[in-house]
Amino acid sequence: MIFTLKWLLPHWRRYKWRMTAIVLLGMSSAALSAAYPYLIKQIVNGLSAGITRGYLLQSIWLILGVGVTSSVVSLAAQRNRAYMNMKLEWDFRKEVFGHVLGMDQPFFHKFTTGDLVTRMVDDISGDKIAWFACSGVFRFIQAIFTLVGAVTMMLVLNKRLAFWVLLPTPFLLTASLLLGRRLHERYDAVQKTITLIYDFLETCFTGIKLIKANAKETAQCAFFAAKTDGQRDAEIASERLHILFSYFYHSANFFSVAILYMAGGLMVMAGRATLGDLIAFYFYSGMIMGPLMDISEFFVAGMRAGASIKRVDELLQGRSAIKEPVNPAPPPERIERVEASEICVLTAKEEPLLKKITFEAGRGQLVAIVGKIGSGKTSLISLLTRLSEFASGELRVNGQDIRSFDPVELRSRLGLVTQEPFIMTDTVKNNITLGREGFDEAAMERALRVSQLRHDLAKLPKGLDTQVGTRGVSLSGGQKQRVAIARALLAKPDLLLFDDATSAMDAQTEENFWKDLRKELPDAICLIVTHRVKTIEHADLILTLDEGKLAEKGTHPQLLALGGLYRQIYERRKLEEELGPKETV
Amino acid sequence: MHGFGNDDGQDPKEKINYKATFRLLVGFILPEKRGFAAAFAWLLLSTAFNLLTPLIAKHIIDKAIPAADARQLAFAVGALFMNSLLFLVTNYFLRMRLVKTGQQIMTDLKKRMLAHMLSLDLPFYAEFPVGRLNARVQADTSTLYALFTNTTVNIFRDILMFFVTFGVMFYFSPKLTLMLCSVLPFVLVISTVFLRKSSTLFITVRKLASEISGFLTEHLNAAGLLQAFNRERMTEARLEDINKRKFDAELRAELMMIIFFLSIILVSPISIALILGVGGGWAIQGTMTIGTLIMFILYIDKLFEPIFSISEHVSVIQRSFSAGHRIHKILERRPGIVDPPAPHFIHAIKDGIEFRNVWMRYAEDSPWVLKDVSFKLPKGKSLAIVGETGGGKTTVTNLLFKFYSPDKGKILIDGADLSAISLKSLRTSIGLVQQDIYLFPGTIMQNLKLMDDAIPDAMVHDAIKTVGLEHFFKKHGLNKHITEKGANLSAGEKQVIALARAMVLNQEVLVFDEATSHIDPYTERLINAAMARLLSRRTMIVIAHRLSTIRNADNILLVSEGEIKESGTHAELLARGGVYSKFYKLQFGEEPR
Repeated sequence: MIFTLKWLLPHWRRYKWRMTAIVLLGMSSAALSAAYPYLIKQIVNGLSAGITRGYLLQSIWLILGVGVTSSVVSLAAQRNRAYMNMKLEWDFRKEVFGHVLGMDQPFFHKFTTGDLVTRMVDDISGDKIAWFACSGVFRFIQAIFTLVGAVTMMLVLNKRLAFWVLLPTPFLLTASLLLGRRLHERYDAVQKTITLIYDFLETCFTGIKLIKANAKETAQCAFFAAKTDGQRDAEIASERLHILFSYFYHSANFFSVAILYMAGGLMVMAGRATLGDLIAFYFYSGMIMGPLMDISEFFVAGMRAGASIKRVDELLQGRSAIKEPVNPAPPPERIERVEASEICVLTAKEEPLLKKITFEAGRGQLVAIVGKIGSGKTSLISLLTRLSEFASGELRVNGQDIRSFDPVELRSRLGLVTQEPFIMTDTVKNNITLGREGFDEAAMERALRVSQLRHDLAKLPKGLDTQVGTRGVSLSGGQKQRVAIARALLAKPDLLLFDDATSAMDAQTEENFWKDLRKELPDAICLIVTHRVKTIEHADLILTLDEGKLAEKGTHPQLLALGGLYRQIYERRKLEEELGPKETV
Repeated sequence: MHGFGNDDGQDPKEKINYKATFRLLVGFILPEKRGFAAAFAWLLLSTAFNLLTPLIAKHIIDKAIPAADARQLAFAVGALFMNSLLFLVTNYFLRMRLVKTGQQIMTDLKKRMLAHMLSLDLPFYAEFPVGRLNARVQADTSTLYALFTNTTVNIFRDILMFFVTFGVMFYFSPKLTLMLCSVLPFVLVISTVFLRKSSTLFITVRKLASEISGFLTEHLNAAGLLQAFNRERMTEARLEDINKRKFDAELRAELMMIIFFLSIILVSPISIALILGVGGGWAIQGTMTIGTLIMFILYIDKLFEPIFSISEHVSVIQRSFSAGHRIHKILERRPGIVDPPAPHFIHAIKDGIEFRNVWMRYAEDSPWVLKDVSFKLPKGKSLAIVGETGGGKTTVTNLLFKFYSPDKGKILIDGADLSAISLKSLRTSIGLVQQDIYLFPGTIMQNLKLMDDAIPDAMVHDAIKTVGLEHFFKKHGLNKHITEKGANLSAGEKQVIALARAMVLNQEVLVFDEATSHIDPYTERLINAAMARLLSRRTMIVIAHRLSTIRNADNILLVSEGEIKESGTHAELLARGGVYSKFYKLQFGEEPR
């Protein structure tokens, strides 16, 4: 709990005025609602003592004033808390997302996208951290004020009666704490059965063919029936506790009320209390139930929020391993030479990913990387984007250590196309610019022409302004790739990194693409992963990777003559292309 | 648990068929009418106890205390205590009764929906994404739950409570009661208008919340690319935009809620002031007792409470009708392929299977997927089908299981036309096992049986022995639980389980869809050996991806572009030096390791 509150403290500090206002509003609401029953008592006592009409009216206006003000103040506190819940949810998500975007590749291997989304959505959401961050804590604070106010008034009015009315409260508080904890356990049990059923249904619907082909529909239904019965029982069990728990909000004070009428009635008879006291105490006994619940909720919800905070904090504690220079060297005019010598990359578990890779590439050269799945091709590409750090060896750009440059500067000079083209739910144009500014018509025109996307645009209803749908559903695989290529070319990069970026192009389109590329960017260094035989043949240098090692290095004729791994891969690809454009399995 | 139930896939402009939906909803209530009757009995009792409390309080104040009689007071307080207790107890029984009844309706409905969905053909599953089917079964039924547990009974309770309270108050002071009621229309209008406004805003908020999940998934998947393009700031700004829109919508919904709550919380002090001001005047004159005055104060909430819940009831009913409508649309669907009037039942396959000049396409305007395909598979033999993805291999099996009907040509089993054979008997005689598939949440044993408890455990043990996988299942106990769709098993282990499943299912003819994914050499050997045993014991059609399987098959069909390009045994086809031999070299020729 201390950790939770400490974690939240800096966030409250940012909104110190509103938070102070919430506390002050809570205090005044507590004070006003503590005064309210007292006023009713005055009237009731007055009525039996024969007061004047004028005095009555005056008191009524007072009651109305206090009642209305107290309601409005309490509403204001409540709504301000709700406002802060929403605002803090926003802040938390913003902070975490911003932090995560600054992380290196190993971070994204450690946390899957699904895991990250769950933490940024569910854990932060309004019923976990965000609710507790303001409502949970500050309701608790207001509850303390209200309790203090009500108890003080009761003690002032009639100590003995106060003793009797407050007698059951410690028991009620204990009971609601215990019950609250059990209730949350049962909610979790229900959630588990629901997840189980979702998993079952998903498997059932994806495997529908298996089930139908084996005529196992009845067996599936029987299994499902057992699981839904399980859910039903869990729901009923949790609802049972929920009903009991809800009594604490409204009706658990009936112990106090009965004691009040009994003890109070006797005291009235004995002349030691007035009827007005009785009525006032009736209101006070109702007033302390809500706060008791808030106190119990503070502890129960606090525990859950604490668990969520730990999960979110784990992301915030993540550090990028990329070494950034304190005083970056002036960025190169252009990237003219890339040299790697004995580069090694390790995974988070210290297992080697790339082993002693050495190569160099200069102005206008094409370097092709080939190898089996998992041989380290993508890792090699991502090394040059400075999104993952290498453990040993040297990587030089224009002869200077790559670590001496500001990664942002370096990245602004390269064009990357990933294996799975990333397409946002937006227009074609925005997908190409990705929000970058300062490109004229000519730059866009060039990118479209070289990427061979220009022909596609004519087929799209609104050309560049066509909305591509969710993650680009309305584009074909090839179109997505061409959009991604156009994006990479837009800024006229010096270093092109293509990770199997042309797989969905036919041979002719790819040939045109390379021709146009060399016309527009004759000096760019290209480092590409590709399967296309013709492209590989033309490469100035071929790197054949095998389980992270650089198995063979050289030009196509050299490697072919070697008769090793490259030759095997090459001949397979060639055969594959011969057998047809369709992917063979 | 984000994402659950957000996918309602309904066109907002689509008209709800109220009549049919209403009939459907009533149909759910009728079988449970005894439960509802019991609930109503508890309802009457609990409402009576609830409304009695202020009357007893009035008695204590007006009679017992002024009488200065301790025994009378003790008696009255005892009654009050008992009354409160009885209210809580009867209310507990009422709510539990409703919960149980509602849960029963939901559970029955879910079972009915799944059974119905499973009776539908494959095109139904192609039309709806899995997430949406899931939402129909889980989310829509829970929407109805609110209707069946609380709304049906609470509407009645609210009406009852309002009129009884009104009656009692009216009995003691008609004037004061009518005065208090003048506040009602005001309350009604405010609560309806603002609750409705806020509920549409809350829908917007929910939509934006799922937009955030979508955005995060989309962009976190491409985090590396965004970083490489230095687009971190832009991406953050885009998230900020959605965050802000969500916040704004929430704020607007909040504003509506403030007005709504104000109308609720202001009613209490205003009406209390009204009671004390007007009634207090009468009390001074002596025309009203203080006890009555206090009783009015205690009753006032019970008078207004029903009014405030009206709008909530309305919104529950609206939501239930949209959910009911979606459920109805699924339940009214009928499968496309059904048994002929006098179906032919098969029990075992005696001779074999034959495809005779079969043509097939999935839609009128789409290209042929199978072109004039003919082959014979005699009983006890095995057939391997190889070829590129999309070449027509899967269609062959789809037709054999009668998932679709061929456009031209015939499929014969023991000489009988497939279209005349009963579906159920066909599919119990012929089995399908796929090697690449999710496993069900349950034990390995249950997964091997495809959840069919009618298969005895001994049969599973026998089957495992027959294919020689005892050792494997010693390591992976049959009672081991599968978690998260098999995430605790490797791809290879899942394939082994699928293979054992093929043996357990004990059908005469088995269609086996081999996995394409690569696995470690040890498991590979295990699978090859088990597969060889399976092939020697069954009549099998294998969509083959493994060299050893193909070699062991009695006959091989090379299916490409919808046609059988070549057929024969492995040796024959290799000797021919045609497409198959190229295919073979590509698939299995010195694979670089």
